[in-house]
Amino acid sequence: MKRLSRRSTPALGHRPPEQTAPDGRPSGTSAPLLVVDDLATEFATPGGPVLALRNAGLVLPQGRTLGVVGESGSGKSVLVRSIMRLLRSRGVRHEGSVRFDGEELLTASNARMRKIWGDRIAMVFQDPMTTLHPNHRIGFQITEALREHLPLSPDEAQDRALRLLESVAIPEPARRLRQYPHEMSGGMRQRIVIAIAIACAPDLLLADEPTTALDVTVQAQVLDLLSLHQSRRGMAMILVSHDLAVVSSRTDELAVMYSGQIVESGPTAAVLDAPLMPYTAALLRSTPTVDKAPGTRLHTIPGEPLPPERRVTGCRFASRCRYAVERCLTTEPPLAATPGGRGYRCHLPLDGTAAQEALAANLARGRTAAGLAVTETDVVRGA
Amino acid sequence: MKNGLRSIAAPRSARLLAFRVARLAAVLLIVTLGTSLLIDLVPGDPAVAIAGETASDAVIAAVREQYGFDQPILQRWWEWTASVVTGDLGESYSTRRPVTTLIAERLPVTIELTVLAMLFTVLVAVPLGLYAAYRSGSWADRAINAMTSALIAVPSFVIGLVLVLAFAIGTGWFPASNWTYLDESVPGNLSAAFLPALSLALVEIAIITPILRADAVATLENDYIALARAKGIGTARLLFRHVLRPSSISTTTLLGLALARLFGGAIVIEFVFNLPGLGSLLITAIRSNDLLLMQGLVAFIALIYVVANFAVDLLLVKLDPRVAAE
Ligand SMILES: Nc1ncnc2c1ncn2[C@@H]1O[C@H](COP(=O)(O)OP(=O)(O)OP(=O)(O)O)[C@@H](O)[C@H]1O
Ligand SMILES: [Mg+2]
Repeated sequence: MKRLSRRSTPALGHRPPEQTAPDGRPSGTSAPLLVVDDLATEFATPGGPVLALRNAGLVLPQGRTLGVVGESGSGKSVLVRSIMRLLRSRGVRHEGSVRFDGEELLTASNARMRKIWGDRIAMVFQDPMTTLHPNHRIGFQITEALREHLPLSPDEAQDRALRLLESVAIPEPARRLRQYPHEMSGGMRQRIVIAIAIACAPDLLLADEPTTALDVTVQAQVLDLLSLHQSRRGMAMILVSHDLAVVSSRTDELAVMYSGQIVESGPTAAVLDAPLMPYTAALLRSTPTVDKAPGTRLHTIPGEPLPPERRVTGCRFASRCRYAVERCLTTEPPLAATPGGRGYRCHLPLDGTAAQEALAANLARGRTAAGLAVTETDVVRGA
Repeated sequence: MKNGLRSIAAPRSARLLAFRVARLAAVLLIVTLGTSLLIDLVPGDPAVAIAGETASDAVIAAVREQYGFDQPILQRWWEWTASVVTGDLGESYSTRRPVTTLIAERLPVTIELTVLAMLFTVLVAVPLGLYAAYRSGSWADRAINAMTSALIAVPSFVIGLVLVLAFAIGTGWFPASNWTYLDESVPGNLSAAFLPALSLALVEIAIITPILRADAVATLENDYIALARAKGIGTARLLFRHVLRPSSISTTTLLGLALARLFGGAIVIEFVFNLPGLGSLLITAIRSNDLLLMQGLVAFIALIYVVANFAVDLLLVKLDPRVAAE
């Protein structure tokens, strides 16, 4: 089988020092719940193969939360669906490894996956208007997950469903159980999707932009609900968002994606306080946050996101990066790791002097090595 | 919003309904006029057929007058229609029994074939279409596609002949031509009906399987299917409980159409298997130049056909508002 990607790069991801034995292997009982290593996903399309995810690595211990951020099309959904192996298998190829609780998922049988789905790993999808079945009552949709994995009688399942609806703060749960999805608001539906996801108390919850399609006023409620159940049940969670403000307060770890790659990762606070990768910094500058003074100008990232299937020789972000030098165009930056458990793919990490020198040179020329125009006024704020 | 749509659509579908009722009436008028023309179309003189070859000219003329064969077509049509609406289709010349009785005797066989063929169609086409969709692109999907596209071009009576040769005459597993009535022996009846019903069903299976497959392939792309899979439910449950319903509009329509087609097909397939249904009654009528029986049968078959199609039209409007908007 043709390899999708070079295997030379180690897993990109933060391992908390206390959980890592000196030889670098996870130690004893506190082995991480999820270890993704060099994961790649390719779609066969009429226009040729699309490598939508490459060299993805991450480590998620029990009960912790990992945020995944990136622009639209960067591969966030492909990443979580690949981890869950939920992409329909025709025309989809995975490489690398996804170990969940010590078990390899990429090679597991479908029957085995069905045991894991819903029971140990569950998912909350982006758009609650399309994720509930239009022809089935809410009660059926919740009890279906319960009865698949637990030896419950119909009455017991119904009872549990009722309590689940209560626990996701749905008023009049008994009436709601008999209703169809179209009789409910988006926020209500997303609570129901969450109720389905947590029904069997999974160990890992994958939430793919769970609030993007919702009203701003209900977004916080739904996120609070997720956090509440996560801490109550000790679930690990991957929270996907294109909104840095959402992940900043709710995640322990952060992975930043660009064009099918995880380009930076590490403890959330550290990454957001001092990003190493210019892409992360640019993303931060384009996000409104509470601590920015009102009226602060938001800087959109120049140019268009690079489609993940596009082949480039150097750094995938180089065409939009104002630090870009010749080397960024010719050599793919390898994955680098810091002692603080951070990882990044960049020749010119922002904590070094090389980045500042490169930026000064680009400003003097008025353009980067990739031809992107840069001016003084763009830069004043970010660097 | 749904109610708003309905209130706008209501007068439109009322007009549509009126149009379809008018069409139904027109078709019935044409068919009955056509059957009244039969007397001029069939070879031989029906009066001779009734009176016998040896009868004198005077007797033949008397018979002709008694049955009204000498009257103009419109008058014949009017008299026949007038008695038909009272439920009297007249008396068969050859058997001297009421046409309605003869039809009532033969109808159960034709209906049984139709219903059984319908059952086979649903039982085979639904799982096959769903499975092909679920494994779309696989060799199984391509094999199913190759099979259905080959079958769709073959008329059911040809399939019937092949099945008779292979499984009745060849292996002797099924009777080639003996009918057993349901009240004589249930297994005997089912084994006699199996091959003819299957020949009828195969064509419908070939029509419906790829349509359901296409709709199910589209359904499988939906987020609610991903959610259902993420619950860990089994494939059969996924397909039948989650995929089937949202994929079934075209299939339901086609099944309705199939019902009318199967009824017509059953009449033809009875020739092949020599079964005592409406089809063989029609043959008898033609052979014995039994005009009133012919007329009654053709009108009855046409009526069933037209009413079935009408019912399908109504069902279609109910299932799919887009049809009403056309
Ligand atoms: N089924 C598929 N077939 C082919 N390509 C696909 C498929 N699914 C995803 N892709 C490709 O993968 C890329 C990443 O898609 P993905 O949905 O993961 O982005 P995302 O980061 O989740 O974006 P968003 O924020 O809009 O949800 C897309 O650019 C698309 O080209
Ligand atoms: Mg997405």
